[in-house]
Amino acid sequence: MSTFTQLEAISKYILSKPLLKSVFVPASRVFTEFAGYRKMGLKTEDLFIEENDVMQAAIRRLPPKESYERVYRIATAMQLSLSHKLLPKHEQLKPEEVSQYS
Amino acid sequence: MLSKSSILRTSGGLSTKRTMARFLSTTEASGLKVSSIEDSRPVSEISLVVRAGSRYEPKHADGVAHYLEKFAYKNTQARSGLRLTRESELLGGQLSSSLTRENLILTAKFLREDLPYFVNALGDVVENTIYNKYELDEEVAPLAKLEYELAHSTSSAYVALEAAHQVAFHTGLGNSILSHPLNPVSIDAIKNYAREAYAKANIQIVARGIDESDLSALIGSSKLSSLSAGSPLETPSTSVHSGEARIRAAPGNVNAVVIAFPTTGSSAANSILAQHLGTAVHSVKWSLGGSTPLGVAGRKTGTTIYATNAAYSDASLLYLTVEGPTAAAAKAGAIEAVNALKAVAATELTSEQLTRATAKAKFANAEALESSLSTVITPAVDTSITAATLKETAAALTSGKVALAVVGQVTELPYLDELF
Repeated sequence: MSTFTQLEAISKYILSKPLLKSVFVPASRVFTEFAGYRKMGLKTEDLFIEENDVMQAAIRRLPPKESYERVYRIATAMQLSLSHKLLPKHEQLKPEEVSQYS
Repeated sequence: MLSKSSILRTSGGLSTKRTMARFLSTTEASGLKVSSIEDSRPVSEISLVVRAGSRYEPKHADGVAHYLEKFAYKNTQARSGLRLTRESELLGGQLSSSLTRENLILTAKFLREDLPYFVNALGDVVENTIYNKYELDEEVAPLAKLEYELAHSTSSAYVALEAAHQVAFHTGLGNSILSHPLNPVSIDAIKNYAREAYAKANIQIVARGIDESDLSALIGSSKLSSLSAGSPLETPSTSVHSGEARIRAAPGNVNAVVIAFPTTGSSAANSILAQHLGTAVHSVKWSLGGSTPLGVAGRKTGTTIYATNAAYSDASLLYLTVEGPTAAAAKAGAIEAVNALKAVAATELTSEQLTRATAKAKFANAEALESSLSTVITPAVDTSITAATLKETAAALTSGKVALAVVGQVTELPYLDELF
């Protein structure tokens, strides 16, 4: 699937240009805030569509701990969605806590 | 009767003294030992001979050398395995790896002008390979398993030889080359072994068709120069043992008997003795090697019998392999084979037999060097062996330690005390 590589190339290009960076990085923060998935404890990677070979391979290769935590986050988010609630403020993911999968 | 000198006269008396070893020049580049030959061929070859074969495997990580060998040319920090494959295809080169009991050998063959790329690539492989867990699970382990199963299902003689090594040497040289599929080798064990093995103290570079000063400069600018100095891997000092291994194989498989004579220290006489008895390679293609004692014994009993000398740095193993369609034939062949060796121990060879064996040993040695450069690290054949020494050697072998391995219908195959 080429879209991941394309996305990565685009983001690298944006980060390499100071002007683009100064526009897009704050915009992305606002976008993520409004998207609201962090309030349900999810990371960006948890939202990727997983019904394809590339994602299946990526999920299979996750270390056991990462894999467990991913499933836990998704289960939590599902429960929150069903009960129309958000996580308490202190349990929501903060931007500085969010790291990509190792 | 033809003597060697009369044959040489008729063929114009070509000099037989030219051997490759003479042209090998050995230097040191960035703390690595480099042996090279510049013979102006269009194809160059460079090998990293790493003293990290199966004998150096730690006891708790049996089979790790095989996995490390299979990890060669996988993803590195600098380039992915896919990129390495595509780039070497673009340049038309070949990358290969092989494993022996003593060495792990990484070889690149390429057109002369591509030297810089391949020196860099090899440096990258030894210094920067990532050793991802998923590569172990998805590629390396299945490949290692396939290789093990293929080797063990196609050749009874191979199974018998591996068993004979284990019986003869127990640890170290007794380790099997290929990792058993049931071995739990962890990615951390592989990483540790790689870190210890890929160090300057263990690596020797052997090159052909490469200018020595170019090579030194390229090594200096590649990752090879930043390898840690390290220390040689540890292996238990070699001891030899008698004993036997009996392995059942499915009916219909070839019955194989390997009678191995382990000795410590290098034995120059062994390779000549093997040539006298008869090796698997015959002087004339498709011929049966009529004049060798084992060739004769084989035809008499309907089996294939040959002698091989495996020379290691601190030991050598002369072994007789008998392959027979039935257990009874293999047993008869094994008895004949042992008798052939006993005959050498009883009476000295004639000068013609000795000349023949010596010449064949010399040729085999030079030819091995020609086909694969990495063999320069094996001891050269000493050709100044007398018939008396050979007789003594044979006598010492037959009265010394003997390791027997039989594969097939174990109830009918011979026991050690039936042969001696």
